[in-house]
Amino acid sequence: MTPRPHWARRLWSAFRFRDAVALTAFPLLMLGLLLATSVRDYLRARQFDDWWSRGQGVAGAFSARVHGLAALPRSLGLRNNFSPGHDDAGVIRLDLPARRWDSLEVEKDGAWAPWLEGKLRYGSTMIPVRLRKRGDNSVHWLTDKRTLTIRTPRDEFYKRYRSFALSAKDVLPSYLANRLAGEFGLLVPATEIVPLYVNNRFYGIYRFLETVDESFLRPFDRMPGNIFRGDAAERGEYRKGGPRNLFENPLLWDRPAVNDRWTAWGPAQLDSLLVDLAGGGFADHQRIMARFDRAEYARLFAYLLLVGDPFHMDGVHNQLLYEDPSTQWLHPIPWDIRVRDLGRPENRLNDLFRELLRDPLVPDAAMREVARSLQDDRFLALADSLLRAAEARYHNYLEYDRLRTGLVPPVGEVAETRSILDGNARLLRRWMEDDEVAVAASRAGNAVVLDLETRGLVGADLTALRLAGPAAGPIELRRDSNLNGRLDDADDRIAVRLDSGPDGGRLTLAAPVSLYPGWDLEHPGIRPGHVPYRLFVLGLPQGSAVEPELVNRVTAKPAKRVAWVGGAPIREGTAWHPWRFRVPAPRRVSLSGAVRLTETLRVAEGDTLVIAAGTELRLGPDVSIVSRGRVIAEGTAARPIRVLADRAKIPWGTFALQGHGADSSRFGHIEFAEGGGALVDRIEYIGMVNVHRADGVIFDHATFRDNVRSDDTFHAMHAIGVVVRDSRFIRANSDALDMDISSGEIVRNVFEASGGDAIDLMTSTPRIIDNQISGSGDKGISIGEGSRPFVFNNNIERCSIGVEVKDRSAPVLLNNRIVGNQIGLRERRKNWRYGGGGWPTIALTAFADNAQPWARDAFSHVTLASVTGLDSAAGRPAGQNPDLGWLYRMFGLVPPGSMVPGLADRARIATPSPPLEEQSFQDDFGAVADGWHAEGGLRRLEKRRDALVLEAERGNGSAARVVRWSLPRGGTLVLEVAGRDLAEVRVEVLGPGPTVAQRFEIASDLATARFVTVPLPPGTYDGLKVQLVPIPGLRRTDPVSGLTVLRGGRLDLRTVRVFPTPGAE
Amino acid sequence: MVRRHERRLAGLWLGLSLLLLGSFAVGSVRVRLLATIGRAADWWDARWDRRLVAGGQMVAQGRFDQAIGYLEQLDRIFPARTSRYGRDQEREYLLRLLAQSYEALGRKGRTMAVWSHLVAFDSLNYRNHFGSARAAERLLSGWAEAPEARDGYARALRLLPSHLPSLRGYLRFYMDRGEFREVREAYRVYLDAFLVGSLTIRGDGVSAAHSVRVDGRPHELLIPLTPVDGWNGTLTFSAGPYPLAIEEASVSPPMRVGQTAPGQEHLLPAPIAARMIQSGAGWVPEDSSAGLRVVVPPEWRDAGSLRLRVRVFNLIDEASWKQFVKGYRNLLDYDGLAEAERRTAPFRSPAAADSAFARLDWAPGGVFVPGTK
Repeated sequence: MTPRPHWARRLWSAFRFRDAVALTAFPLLMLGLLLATSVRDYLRARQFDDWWSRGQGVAGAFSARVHGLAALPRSLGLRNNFSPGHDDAGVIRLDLPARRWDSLEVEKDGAWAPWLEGKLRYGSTMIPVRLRKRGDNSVHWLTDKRTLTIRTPRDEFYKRYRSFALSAKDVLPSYLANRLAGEFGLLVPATEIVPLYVNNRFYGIYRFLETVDESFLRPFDRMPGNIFRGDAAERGEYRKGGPRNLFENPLLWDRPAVNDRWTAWGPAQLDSLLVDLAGGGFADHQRIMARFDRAEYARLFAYLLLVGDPFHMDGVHNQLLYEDPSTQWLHPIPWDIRVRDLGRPENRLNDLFRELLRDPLVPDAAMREVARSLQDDRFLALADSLLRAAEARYHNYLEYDRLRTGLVPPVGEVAETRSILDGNARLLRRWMEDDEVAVAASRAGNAVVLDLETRGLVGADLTALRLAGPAAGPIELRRDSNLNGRLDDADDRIAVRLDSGPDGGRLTLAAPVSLYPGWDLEHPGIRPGHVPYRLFVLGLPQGSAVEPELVNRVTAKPAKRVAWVGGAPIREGTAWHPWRFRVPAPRRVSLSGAVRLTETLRVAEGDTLVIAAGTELRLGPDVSIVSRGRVIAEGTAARPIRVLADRAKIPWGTFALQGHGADSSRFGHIEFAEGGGALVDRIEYIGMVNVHRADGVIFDHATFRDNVRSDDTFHAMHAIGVVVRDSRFIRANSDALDMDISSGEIVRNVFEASGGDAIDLMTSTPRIIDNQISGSGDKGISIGEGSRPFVFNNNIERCSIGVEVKDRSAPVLLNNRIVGNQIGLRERRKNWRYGGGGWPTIALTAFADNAQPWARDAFSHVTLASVTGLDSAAGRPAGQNPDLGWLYRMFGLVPPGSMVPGLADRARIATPSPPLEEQSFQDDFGAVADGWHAEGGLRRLEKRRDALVLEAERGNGSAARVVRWSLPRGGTLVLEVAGRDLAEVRVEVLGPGPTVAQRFEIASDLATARFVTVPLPPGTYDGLKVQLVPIPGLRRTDPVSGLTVLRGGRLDLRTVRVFPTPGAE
Repeated sequence: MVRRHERRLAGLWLGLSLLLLGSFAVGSVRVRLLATIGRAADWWDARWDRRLVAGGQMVAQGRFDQAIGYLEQLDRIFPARTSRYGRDQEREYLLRLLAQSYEALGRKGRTMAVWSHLVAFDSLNYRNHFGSARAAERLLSGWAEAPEARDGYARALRLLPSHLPSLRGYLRFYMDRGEFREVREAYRVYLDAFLVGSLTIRGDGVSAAHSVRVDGRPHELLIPLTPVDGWNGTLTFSAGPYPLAIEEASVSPPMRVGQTAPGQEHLLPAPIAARMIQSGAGWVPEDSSAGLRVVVPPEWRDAGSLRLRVRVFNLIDEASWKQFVKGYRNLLDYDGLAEAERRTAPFRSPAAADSAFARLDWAPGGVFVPGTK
């Protein structure tokens, strides 16, 4: 019998060529596919020519694919858990047809990144949006995860943004770098980490970034002004064949926000900055520094050093400067800052940074700021918490994108980012110790010449001189103030105290002499430079030796000293010598009697202007008084001060307080008339009287009348605590009292016949109490651009519009009388950048005899309580009016005996009683419902604009949250609510005791809210529940599907407040 | 027999397949293989440059008919669709070749259409506006210069205000029409254009550079000096291709540790020109080695700082300058002329001025030169 062949042999004998092909087909095909797609990606990258595309290769693309394949099971596992319904306020969901999405890849000739139409799912609603790819280099558009810009319509913002970017690159580190900038008090665009779904499929984890335009300035309470942008580095953006350095070519800059006032300097501020930068002299440097806030730049440099990236805001891109019209200062906006190893400098700092750091006070302040941030590892702890919070919230999304790194831009790692920051902190701590000072003491005639040179990255304070040998009698210490090397009369004396001992003494300086460092910035990175200092010690007998005591200015430890050889040349410093920045001694400028000014009087910061009682100031045409120092102008009833035009009918300029040097200025019994506003030192003063960035200024018994030409009679801008009381505003040319981004008190004033508004507010929060306003050509009180004033007991009559509320303003109007106006109350959205109309709270206010009581647009809301004359529904029967005592107490007023709409007696002031707890809602990237959770048939529970939206469909539903209220004397729960399609609402407050419950009905009007008060008996409470009972059977068309579906009942909860019952005191 | 051969073939296939797959598993081999594939991809991708060179040769050889067909086809499929693409300069080169070919065949409309296309392709490239203006001047001008040419020169000057050839074109338009106000205004804008140059100071062991405005106005500079021992006292000043005038130069000795009598400031002698020609208010460089030389006397060589008053002049040629002078004179603006004269140092010829422009660091950027990539 023939032996049976081995199985392998049998297999081989049956093996055919087609079997071999079949066996290898899959791996070969896979290999071929990997190679082909790698080559395709490489060739696509070669179509571009930037730092990212130049780094691409076939090997890299192949390797990324292999790794992606290896990680595929894990990726799929993660992906299976992703859901577009993920209940997270950060998730962004876009819907747009696939063909339109694919068109992102196609470029028509000459057209780069056209806008596409799509839809953004915003909670339960949809916003039509436009989107396009963006980015300054190909990493943003060549991979499967593109960087995008999204823009909503003007009428429908996404949260508070109309336009934002979703950046695919370095998500985690860039997010961290951007967030940290905010901790240094810098103007920085908002940033978040967000997962993006496109057509219900997860597309990638992104960095949400606010785009920089005029709207960007609003949350920082900055006036609209120019933003200069130098950010044209890549192809298609820069100008071929011209100078590319932004600081040598003003034509490379544009302005994403434009100051369009006729008085604005346009782009000239930037041009003039560049002229001074090219100058290179000390006068040029001083003009440059006058445009910047040293402290702000010190914070900027500290921040950039800590994240390790002072290099990316360079000479070709990432430059954004905001020009504040109230000061003409330029403020930096950090842009595209990365987390980098500071020890590996990439290039020289840009020309502007180098010039700013030539002021030795700037690096000195920057290193002190670094030290503050590193104290107790504060900065690192903050960075760590931001990183970990982001990682914890979006770990799966981040991990998914990490698994496909190479195929999409890297998203970054927590450990790596943290390790870079740790390294920077270590390096900066070494920098803080780098405090070397060269020292030489030599006798020249009767003086000892003390030469010192800072040679480190931080400076030293000269605190004392140790004297060896005989030391008695008067010893004098002087510094070479004029830097001529010789002792002369111009050299300042330094106050010292001599403590003699048996073998010498110690000369202690009353205030240390600061020896600032100078940095060497002529090479890539930052190196220690040098600044020389010379002092003279007089009165020392021959044979005495001098040894300085030096203390590190940052660490306060003794500074390192090295000997300086006598006769060695003293080098020019690498920074401007700090003693060249002379600080003049304060002066007192006094005016009294009859004074005629024919040219503008400028009072410097530190000086004081005193105007005596009875002074009559006559100012020539366009002549102004601008004081950066404090002003004391206190007349008396018998001897008032008068500021008048020198020539009748020809206006003088402005009386202006500018800057915090003028804080606490006082004006009493003073009359201003016939001024016309002015443009002084390129700052526009739109009022006859202006308070710019000065706090605590008081005007008492002042008369402002008959201003000519200027917008305002009185204008406060960026002024905190301005008080105007018992004053009269008569015949204002336009607005009488204008407040921009200010606060204070407007009390017991009379406004008569103003050409425009009597009181005009922008982003301001004054208390407006007991004023008489009549005959305004426009509004009695105009409350706009996010203002939140308290308006109490004012009589407003015969104006074109009694009160106007607009642009996300939320005033409280209590006990006012608004009668005989063309329009009593107008609510509207005027400036779309604020994202909506106003939402006033109006209580116990009487509207009467107004030609049109109320006008409002679709963007506005109102909360009404016991208001008469607005419309028939507003003034409710007295029995149903809630108790509003809490409202008086909250604003520091004693509630009147009887609460009737209209004027109250004069305000009786009490200590404000704030609520035990107050919850309001702001749509942001945080929690979806700020601690509330849905129960039962509640279909919708989310923050939208300024309210928490509860919507119940098909059946009753409720929202509840945990509370911790301890009310030993009981209290009051106040809800501010509006609703529609609700049969009933029930509020329950839960605790260990019996549940407190109250039912109420609500009118079907989402734009009109009311207060619901629930008395709470003494006890503790741990839960709050709001239950909705919708009207059954209503239907609506679903915006997403287009189908007819049930229409739910909706309640908008604006605020929840709990007030304890006031005590006997 | 057949089966045996088939098995061999199958074995060979399997072996080769395993070899191929295995080679990708070995790191060093994989890197080499992928690098080779990358090079092959580069060669394939370089076909665009090869095609451009071929098109350029057709134009150079005067085969315009053939070139037009070839370049039009190439233009339709060329991968750089906007100036964002890496081959934007190549696309611009292609379109210039096409415009040149159309113009050579007298097809004015097509020529101008191609120039318009170039301007639209990269409107931030002043050369496209300048080229369009030149073409309009050649093709559209009749008895008078074409306004399209003026507009093109004006746009080029808005992008690069110190571009002398565009200024000349603009000047020609208004001189032809005798509109001297525009001539004077154009020169004023040209002189005031924001331009920064670099003043370099070289010597035996001395080297310094300082930014300075190129506006013909005097600027004071203070430059620290740290000469090496044995310095021969030579200082050579140059502003690169820009004309220069050193109005005053002085050196001061450094302060010294412990010494309270710093030395005096010493005014240096007038500089000697090296390959520079005096012209107008300054000295015009003949080439890149030109400079103004000062020799510090031996007793003053212990210098710590150098104080200078310098003027650096924008580029202008003698012929254009004369036209501007005529413009000022015809307006009887002698004060303006005197001021302009103080700020002007003309080159002898337009070619000399243009070659000076070409020597600027940033000037050659953004131009495709066949064979350089």
